[in-house]
Amino acid sequence: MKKTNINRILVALDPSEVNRSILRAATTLAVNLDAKLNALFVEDINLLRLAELPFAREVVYGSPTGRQINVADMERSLHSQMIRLRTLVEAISQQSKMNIAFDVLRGDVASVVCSASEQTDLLVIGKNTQQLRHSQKVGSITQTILSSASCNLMVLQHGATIERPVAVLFTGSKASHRALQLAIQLVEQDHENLTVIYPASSDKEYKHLKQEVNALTRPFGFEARHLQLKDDTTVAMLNTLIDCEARMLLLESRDNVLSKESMQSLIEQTSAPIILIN
Amino acid sequence: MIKPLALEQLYTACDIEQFSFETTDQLQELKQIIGQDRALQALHFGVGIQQEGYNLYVLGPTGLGKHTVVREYLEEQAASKASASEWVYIYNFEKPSQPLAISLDAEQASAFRNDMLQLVEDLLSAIPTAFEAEEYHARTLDIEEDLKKTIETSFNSLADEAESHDITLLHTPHGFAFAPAKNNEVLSTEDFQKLSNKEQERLAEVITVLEEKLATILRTRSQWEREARDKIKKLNQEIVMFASGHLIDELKNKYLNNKSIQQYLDAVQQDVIDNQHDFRRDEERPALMGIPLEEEPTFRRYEVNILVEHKKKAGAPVEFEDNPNYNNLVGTVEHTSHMGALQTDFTLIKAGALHRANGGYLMIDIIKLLTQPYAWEGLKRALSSRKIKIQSLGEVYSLVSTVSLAPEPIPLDIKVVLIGDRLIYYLLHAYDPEFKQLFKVAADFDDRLERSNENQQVYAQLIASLLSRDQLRPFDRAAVARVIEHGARMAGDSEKLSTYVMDIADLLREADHFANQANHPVVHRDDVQRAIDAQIYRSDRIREHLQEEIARGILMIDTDGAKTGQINGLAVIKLGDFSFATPQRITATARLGSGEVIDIERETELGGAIHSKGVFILSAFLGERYARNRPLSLSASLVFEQSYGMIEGDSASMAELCSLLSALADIPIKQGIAMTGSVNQRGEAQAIGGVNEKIEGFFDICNKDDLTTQQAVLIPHTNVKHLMLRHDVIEACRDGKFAVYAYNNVNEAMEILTGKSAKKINSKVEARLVELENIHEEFSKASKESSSTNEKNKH
Repeated sequence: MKKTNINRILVALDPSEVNRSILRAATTLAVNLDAKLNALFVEDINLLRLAELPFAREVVYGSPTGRQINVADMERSLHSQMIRLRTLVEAISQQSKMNIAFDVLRGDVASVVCSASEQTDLLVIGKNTQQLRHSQKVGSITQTILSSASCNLMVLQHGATIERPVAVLFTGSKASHRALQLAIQLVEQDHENLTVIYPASSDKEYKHLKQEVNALTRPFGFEARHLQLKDDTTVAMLNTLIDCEARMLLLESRDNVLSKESMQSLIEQTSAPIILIN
Repeated sequence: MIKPLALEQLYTACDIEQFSFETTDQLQELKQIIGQDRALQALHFGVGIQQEGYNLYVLGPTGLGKHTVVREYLEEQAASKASASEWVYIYNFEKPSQPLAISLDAEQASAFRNDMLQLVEDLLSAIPTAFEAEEYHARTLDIEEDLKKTIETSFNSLADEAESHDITLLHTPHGFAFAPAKNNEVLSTEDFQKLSNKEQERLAEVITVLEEKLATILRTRSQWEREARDKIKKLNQEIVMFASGHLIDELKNKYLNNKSIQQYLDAVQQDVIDNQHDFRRDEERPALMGIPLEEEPTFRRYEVNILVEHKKKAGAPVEFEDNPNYNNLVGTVEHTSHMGALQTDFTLIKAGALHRANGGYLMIDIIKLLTQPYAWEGLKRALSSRKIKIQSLGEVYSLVSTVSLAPEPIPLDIKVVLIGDRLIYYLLHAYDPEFKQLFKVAADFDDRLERSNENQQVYAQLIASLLSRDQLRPFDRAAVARVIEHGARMAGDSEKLSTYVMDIADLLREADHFANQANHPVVHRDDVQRAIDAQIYRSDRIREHLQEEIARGILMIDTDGAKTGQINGLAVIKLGDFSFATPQRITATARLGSGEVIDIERETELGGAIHSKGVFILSAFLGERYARNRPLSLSASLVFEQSYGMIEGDSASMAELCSLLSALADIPIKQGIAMTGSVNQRGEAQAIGGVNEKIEGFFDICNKDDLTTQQAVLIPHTNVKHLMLRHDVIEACRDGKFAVYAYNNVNEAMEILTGKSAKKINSKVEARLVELENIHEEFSKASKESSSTNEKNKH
């Protein structure tokens, strides 16, 4: 089995407080996979356009009325955000003793990130980066990236960390092969931390897929744990994840097991990081 | 002329035939001290009466066994009383600087303390477990989800409303903003200006409205968050109550009858709820370079400080405080030093003697109490208020203003027994009005008792008891008799017995020692005598030196021949617990004068008031007897020769009078006779003290050289009953070599001293006084004539 080709990881940062955990998770992943890590901050063009408008006002917590904003103020604020993020990146780079490049671009956030993802093997993003929308719900920018990005994606709840055990949904497709490959790489030598989940299918199909997985894992000297979904729904998947106590899930980004809505629902309802393999 | 006293008058022996025992082994020990009926009755009364102010003062000289008697009596009384309450101090959750006191039955305090320790341990286990339960997490999650949902719904709703007007909600660096958008992109200025004015205005208006709504949401968000926090807080309280309630209820049931503990446990319950974070195993506490930035929680406030505890069925407490300083009496609040500052809390409250004796009896030495600064005031304050209030002296006297603990005062129910001498008692009674109010009962210990046959039997039993107590050899009855006789000698009266139990006990021990040396299994009379002699010898150095000085003639004392105007007086010297007497030469001169008798000791301020009084009295006697109808034309002077220290007392006033009469009558006094006695204005002899020592003192001087058979001592007749002379003096009297005379008045005394009749002496005195008067008249006449001649010559 080939080593997964994840040599470059890009982590998209935003001005919110969730960045620290997302950056740490990306760093952990980069160390585990021996990949290069880039951090990207996109200065939202919409904010600058907003600042240009004549009636532009900012509603601030604690102030009864909005306050006037202008382009200069906005530039300064964006610059301050950029400085804070750079400092954060440098600090984590020092702590983890790895080089993290930091880039700043300006434009529509989703578009710029999608465009940047073409130059990377794995894009790491937060589930919802809006400070107030501090929930499991997938934010609009993330939704856009999920549907548009061409590379592999990792979606993280804020505060999540890269841990084992790892679960992987195996359907037999090429993408699921790559997902399995990556999962094996992530568990390293720890056999008990890998659970392979199979879609709800006939026994024969299940057996076949299982054999296929064993054949793939045997060269590494271990056998994974095998679980089969009761049905191909988000609930079944969530229950299976709870059963195997998985702290990370890998699956192909477009498959026949879960619909797009189910996939989004799964991403929203689990707190474990999810890696979508393209 | 009076005759010498008979031998049986000089010493009253103890008849051993009255004793039915051979040795003291056959005697029953005494259950009660002898000769102290008055004191015992007072004790009984003072202890029995349950009214305010009836504390006791046990008075009497040291050595009577007051402490032992009082303690044994109190312990006997206390044994039949119920055990006193135990007291603990606990934390006051409402006012931490005022710890609360709780009373419990005997042996409950330590159980309560252990129960509280166990409670904390149980809470430390139960509360974290409760908070780690799935149910708790689920409920907190629900609350958090509700909050998120509420906020999210509000924002989503607003965002949707904005979207419906082609406006997008943006997250700016410091807050939020609304901007017109198309396809999720904010319109540029150019695109915006391409819109119609109406459209621009509409957008501006809608944005203004949306901004107001957003501001409202932001304001209300605080309220939602507060409500969520309140829900979590309430949930936490429920969890804590769930975890701790049954544990505390269990304790409350155990101490159902104690209202204070019930209230305390309610307060503990509330405190546990309020300080639940101390019990929860929360996240690691913040630290800087390993140094914790927050203090570890302490559960010291749930501890129970046992102030005083008692055993069940132990009776009421009887305490003797032998170091009655202020803190030892009323208790104290101790402090510990922490990083240069003094700290304290309710666990550092320490009990005083008043606490330990509360509900019972407290014995204190008055001298020790009065010599401790402010201790007496502190005791009175507690007794007056009937409360024990622990306060430092600095606080009591407003010397310090630092904040400290003010423990709740504890009600005081106690009998205080002060023990001391009579002088202190009467001084306090005279000068301290509070003393009279607080110590109404005086238990007056007598230092002597009647030497009746019955009492001698009881005395023998006392001896037996003391021997048994100190595990000494038995005494035979002759030895017992000797001790009894010595008891009379100690009392200074043949008709009394000393009750100085300590001194008697010492004699018994020492006699036992000498019996041991002589290998006597039973102590004999000789052993007792050896002990007595040894006691005297150990204290005898000064007396021996004085006697040597007299024998060598350095101190001039004549013990034979006769001299006019000179007599041997007798003075007692008390050094420590040994008294002895030594003769003192008294001389008198008489010459023409104007009726004054000069006391040289008084003139040189070496005579005390009582001595001076004695001289004035003899002066008055002179006038009364010899100069009723005429002036006294003499000037006399009296002096104690070779005396360079203070002279006090009037026991030599009769001797002074006799030497003066001898000088006036020009009749010599026999120097082989010494004299003691006090004189009144009528010339009657009055009793004096130390009669035995005085006789023996003169005897010893005379005995240095061989006795001449002309040597004797004169004593007032009223002192005869005090005689318990030494054996060698008795023997000398028996052999006719020495004598003791008892006289009633100055006439009898002068007859013995001079060998002349009183009639002759008085007439010679009168004749001399008349002569002096006549000389005085002549001088006066001559003086008048001389002065009138001078007047005439002048003119």
